[in-house]
Amino acid sequence: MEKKLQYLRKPEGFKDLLPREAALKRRSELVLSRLFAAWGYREVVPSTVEYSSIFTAGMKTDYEEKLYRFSDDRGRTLVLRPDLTLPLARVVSTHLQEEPLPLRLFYQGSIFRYLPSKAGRQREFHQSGVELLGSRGPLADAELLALAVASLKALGMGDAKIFLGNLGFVNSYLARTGVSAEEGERVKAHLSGKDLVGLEAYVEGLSLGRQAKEDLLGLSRLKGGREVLAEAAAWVQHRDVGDMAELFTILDSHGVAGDVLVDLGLVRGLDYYTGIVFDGYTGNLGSPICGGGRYDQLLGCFGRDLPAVGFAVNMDNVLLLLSRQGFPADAPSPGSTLVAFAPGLQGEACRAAARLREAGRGPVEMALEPLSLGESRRFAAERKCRHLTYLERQGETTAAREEDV
Amino acid sequence: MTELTVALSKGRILNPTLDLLARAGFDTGVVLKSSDRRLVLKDRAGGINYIMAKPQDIPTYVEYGVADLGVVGKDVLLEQTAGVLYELLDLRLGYCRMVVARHRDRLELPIHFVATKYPLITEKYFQEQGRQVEVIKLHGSVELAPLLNLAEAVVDLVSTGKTLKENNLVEVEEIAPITTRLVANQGSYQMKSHRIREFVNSLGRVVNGSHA
Repeated sequence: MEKKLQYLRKPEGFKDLLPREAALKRRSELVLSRLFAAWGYREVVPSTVEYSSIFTAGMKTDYEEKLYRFSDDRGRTLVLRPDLTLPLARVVSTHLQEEPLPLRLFYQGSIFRYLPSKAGRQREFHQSGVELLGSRGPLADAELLALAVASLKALGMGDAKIFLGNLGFVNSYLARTGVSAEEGERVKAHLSGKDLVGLEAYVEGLSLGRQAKEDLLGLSRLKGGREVLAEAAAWVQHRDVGDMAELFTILDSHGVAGDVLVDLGLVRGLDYYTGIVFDGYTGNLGSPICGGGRYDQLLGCFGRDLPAVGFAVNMDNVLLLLSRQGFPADAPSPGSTLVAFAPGLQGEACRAAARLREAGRGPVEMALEPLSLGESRRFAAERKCRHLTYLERQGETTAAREEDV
Repeated sequence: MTELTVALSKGRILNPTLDLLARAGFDTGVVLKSSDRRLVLKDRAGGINYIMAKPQDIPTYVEYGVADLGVVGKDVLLEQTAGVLYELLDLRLGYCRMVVARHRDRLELPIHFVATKYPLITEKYFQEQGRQVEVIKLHGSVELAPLLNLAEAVVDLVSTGKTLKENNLVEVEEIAPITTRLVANQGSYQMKSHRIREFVNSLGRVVNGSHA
């Protein structure tokens, strides 16, 4: 292979968004930021760089080996943020003390995870997400779920479904089978990666009765429509089951109960979730389009005891889906106009372009040198402009010739 | 009916897999009747598409959602660096073991180099025990390495142990037992959960005798 210039190389796992993709990203972010704002959420732009301690101390996370680290001038370790929930928790615990509760916040930005490199695997991820802080009840959970459904619909993913679990339920279910706390953690670790083969082998080795073992293996099968909650209620008299039934009643009122399915075996690798957890899927994407949950202990680690629930949309998957579908037809662009001019008419051309832009008739671009009419027609076609405005002299006056390309 | 796409590993485990599918009540005639060249096969009546692929590519097909399910050896799963795959069922086919083997006359030599087709598994195994070795990746005939003094040990799959014996190698450590697994991606597991559960249960009944 020919040796390429070194400065053309790009760090592995990072990519440039070219105009088509960048336009999709801009439009999707706009759709979501408008939606979030319409639900009363206000934007926060947290800093890209954090001290590593907020990701490695306090809450147990699996970030330790996935951080982009460097140091500041005093040798303290800085990291590129691997998620946006922890930075937001820090912001809320330091800056927004005086704000009345509940707090509704949203963010849009990149996160960075240093994952083992393999051809094309990304290390920068784009997210749009919301956090609702200061409320513990099912109304808050329902609002987040309804907003997640609304987000996916607003992005044109009508077939998307949200799969809802509850870690509170999982914990009491596990306790009822008689496993120790440590064994329970191992069971949850297997469930979080849905390693059902590993789970079966592990459970077989536990010193429990046959029924308890079957219960442990049965947890991952408690999934389906809301009727699963009735089934679960028979297993565990737990307030979380009642809360989930109430949650579905509220989801009915939001008009989204049909978009939410139950998966009581859903467990998250991240340790900070305490209540509901959910993932959204659509089409034949192998990975989630969004995910979130409740984390009532997390803010306490930052010295402010606040219950919270949030979710983030995986914008990279959104872009992938949208670019596969081609450009969505919801906002047809009127097509751009080329303003070209004969020699000596550049001033007139500038003024004509300004008038067209003012009129708001879609993008207007200007030729940057004088052209003949024939040249400007070819130039407009080459640049895929829909309209041509050509300025030419007719005797003493200047005429603007308008045509469609 | 929701269509299900299943990626099958070509090679050693294909026939046992087809046999298992047939015993579970699936029509594998479409696969058996095809010439070896067709890579996508449709069982229209059963609503199942089969993708025939190299074992090493199965995790990729499944992870990216091209296939909902994959049938693949645990050795391939351990060696790949792909994202999340759900392991739904141990098909208990193609049983073999990943082992460390050495030349029987040179067992007392310290291990500096380990030759293998599985560099990730090897690296991880030795690293977890704090043993420093250099891993040499080979693409085949790993058992030659000790004979040629390229490495003091090999990491490889053994089923009968015949190849080891023929090359004067002996197994010294077992890394993991290996069987064939049924895997799914996260999206299919949720969006097609009903069909996948039926599929898993059908296979599970044959594998276990009594899977609910």
